[in-house]
Amino acid sequence: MFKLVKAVEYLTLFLITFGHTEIFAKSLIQSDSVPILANAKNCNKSKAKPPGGYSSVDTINVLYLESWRNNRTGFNNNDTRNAQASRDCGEGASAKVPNLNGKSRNEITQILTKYGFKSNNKPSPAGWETFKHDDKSKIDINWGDGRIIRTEKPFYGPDRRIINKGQRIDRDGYKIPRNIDHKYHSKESVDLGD
Amino acid sequence: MSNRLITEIPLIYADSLEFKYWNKDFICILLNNEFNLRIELKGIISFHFIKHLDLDCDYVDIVDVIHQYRLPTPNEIESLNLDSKVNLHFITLHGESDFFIVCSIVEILNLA
Repeated sequence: MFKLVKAVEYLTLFLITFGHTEIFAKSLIQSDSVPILANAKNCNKSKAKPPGGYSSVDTINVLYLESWRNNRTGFNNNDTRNAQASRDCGEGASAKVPNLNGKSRNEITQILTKYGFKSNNKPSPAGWETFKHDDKSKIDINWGDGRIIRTEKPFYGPDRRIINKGQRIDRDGYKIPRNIDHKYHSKESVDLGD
Repeated sequence: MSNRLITEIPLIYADSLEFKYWNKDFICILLNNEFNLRIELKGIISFHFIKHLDLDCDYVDIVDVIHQYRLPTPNEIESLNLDSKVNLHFITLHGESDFFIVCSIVEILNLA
């Protein structure tokens, strides 16, 4: 097992050194199992994936290796440092919508319409209204308490089953780490105006 | 018996939800394979289910969880026909469907 781990480490260094970084980075981005830090400081402003792929892949590789070593050494998944390291840009229209925090109901409805979201027009008894996009990403808004919850568009595995079930996105377009409780999700809320 | 709340676990979806009558008791079981979680709601007094959208995902989406362990209010005592003032679990799960559940026991089991 130790030899296998060492072999993977050497392979990683080889790929970084000999210019296969882009391929390596892409394979990491597609992986569900490892947390990765994307380059963009704000996903819904600068977009997650620049044309032609990732350019500064060394940053990704270093953070990937750090995260991978942490996992090997029993790093606590609930540690906030791990949450920071997994700031990976979300995919789909719900990640591209700008920060809605503090905006009024009218402003939010206009923005979501502009970005191609359609309401289900049937708020739940608890006050939730769901806005869905054609790419199947969605944004749930509770008009009662103002909470906004974004969900990434689905990705499908070879068996056509969804592999990113319920992946949440924060107000800046980053994926919210899957292993944290609801109460620690980043806050984004409507200005209800009282 | 644990009084752990569902809001204290990383539950953003369930792979399956089962509602059954077993051993003179209504039980609801939620399974999440990703985090090896099995949530058993036992002694169900009220189970209300509303489907909002066309379900185009192969799991039970859980966007929001409200879980309170408390005494029922006078209104709840009247509407649910409760005959005692004991603490109960009041659970609301919102996603592509909504669930409103009142039960006496919640067991959160880690299958790992």
